[in-house]
Amino acid sequence: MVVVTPDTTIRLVVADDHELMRSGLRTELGHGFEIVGEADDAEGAIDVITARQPDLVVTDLQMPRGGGLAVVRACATVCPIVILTVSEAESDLLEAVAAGAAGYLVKSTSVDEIRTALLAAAAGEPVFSPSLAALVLGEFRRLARANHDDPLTERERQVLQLVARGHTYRELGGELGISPKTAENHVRNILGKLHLSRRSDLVRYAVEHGLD
Amino acid sequence: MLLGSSAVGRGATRITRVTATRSILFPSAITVFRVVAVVRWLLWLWMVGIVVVSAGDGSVRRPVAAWAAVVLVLGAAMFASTAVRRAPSVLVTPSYAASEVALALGLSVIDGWVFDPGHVFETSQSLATQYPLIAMVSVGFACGPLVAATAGAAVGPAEWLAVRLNDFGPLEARHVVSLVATSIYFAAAGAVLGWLAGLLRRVETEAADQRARNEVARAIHDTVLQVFAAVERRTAANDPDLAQSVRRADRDLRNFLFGARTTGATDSFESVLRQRVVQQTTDSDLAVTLNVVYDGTEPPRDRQTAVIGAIGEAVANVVEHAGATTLTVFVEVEPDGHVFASVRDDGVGFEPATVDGHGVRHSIVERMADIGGRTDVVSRPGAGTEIRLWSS
Repeated sequence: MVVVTPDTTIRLVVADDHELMRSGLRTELGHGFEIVGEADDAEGAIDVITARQPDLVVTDLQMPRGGGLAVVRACATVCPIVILTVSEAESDLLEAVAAGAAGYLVKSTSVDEIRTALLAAAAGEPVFSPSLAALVLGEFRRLARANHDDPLTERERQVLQLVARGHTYRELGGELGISPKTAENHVRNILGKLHLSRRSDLVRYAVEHGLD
Repeated sequence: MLLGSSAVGRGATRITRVTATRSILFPSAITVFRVVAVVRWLLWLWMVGIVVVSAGDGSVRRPVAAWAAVVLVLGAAMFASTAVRRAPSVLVTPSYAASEVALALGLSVIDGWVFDPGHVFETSQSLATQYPLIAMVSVGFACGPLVAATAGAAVGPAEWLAVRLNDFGPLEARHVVSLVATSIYFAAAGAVLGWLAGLLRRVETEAADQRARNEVARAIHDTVLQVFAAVERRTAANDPDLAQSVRRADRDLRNFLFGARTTGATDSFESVLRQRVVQQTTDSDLAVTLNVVYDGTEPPRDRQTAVIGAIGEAVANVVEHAGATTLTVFVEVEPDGHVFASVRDDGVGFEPATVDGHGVRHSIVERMADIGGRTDVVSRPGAGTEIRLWSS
């Protein structure tokens, strides 16, 4: 996590098997970003992230040798990882976020928005779109039904729903009478709970199947 | 770019069609014919047994003809076994089906002729036994249930001929009933087998279509959509017109590729809703996000109709009047079947207290009121609009 100031240069690793995408980010991100490593598959990405210890990783979801999911699972503790995807309908998208990705961006997002989102992600803020909020809301619904226990507070549910309805932190703060910063903290907690639920799901699975 | 996109669309459609009409011989049909080939051999062994035993107790008056029939069925079994391995498509041709029916009827007829008088109706085992059923499978797959049922109905008259050739005495009512029952039995079998063959074919053709579509989608996902995304991103600032047309091409292509998956065979709440929103925004330049939180619990039919209708009207309002660039539709179906929906835009907005809201009153509020639901309109001039709907 870095403190972003006007002089900060964010050291970035880009993993995508499409050269077009990598060259695009190279030429478009410009000032404030330095691409310290590139990879065109998951294994290469994990190697280069481990070697270069960047501030931020941007990875495609569908890549050879494990895809973005493998990169998130291996490197989510090193630095924030943002998924760059061509479609929000990807089946691994939620899985990647639950495994610790900071969020995702759709590849057609304009350069300015990508830059803003990456700066925020490097500073440790979740990159949370309305569609992702809806996915997470649905996932908690599924978890609640499976475990007969909803880990979300009523307030967190409201926050998620408002984001899924297209409200910004500032707008939903106004709606709920809380500050944008508090709204963002709710989102961070929600993602934390998602990671935990997923992990306990895995643990339960391991216990039930007699694995260590 | 638009030209390019429609060319891809045509190509994909062509692949789908080729799959659909490729052949009436689909994988599960071959499995069926393989099983039938084994049954043929069992029936043939059974037939050999019957002729040997009958020849032993002297009840066969024309042993040469009986053995000739055995050889004929042996030939048919060998042909079918070879064909299923080498050229299975032969097995679903009408001419092969016709020869199968001829063989089955011939066996039924000859049954009366080769055995001593009194064989028919007296012995349960005949040369034909269940052979007509095998013929029904062939006809069912090649010609469908109607022809198969007709062919099955012919087994009764064939057996009547066998009775005549067997020099059987005067027919009693129970004999006639038995012959009619035979016709009905095989006609019904033919109809069912033909219907099953059609069902199998339909299911498999659909699966093959879906596979072809998925392959195309995967290929395009990996190439065309990536390029579209890059062009959209790079042109957004300095060539908005190009960015716009690429965005449209991208959306059309996605609707073609991924849309059919959810809107094809099912009429679930979610797929009808998606279809409706796509339909109503397809000619606009809005960036549309549709978020559905839904675990498959289907709301009651009248609630679905009202909510989808109200959402459709709200979306139409945004397209027509809002002057918005983004539209977010959110729909959540509670586990108890209640629905909350929100249609939100970043357009010009209006003063809800003073304006009718371009028909919001009638088209949306009343639809929701009809099912005991509620509508809130949240808007301010210059600050966009959110229509909120509760199903009750």
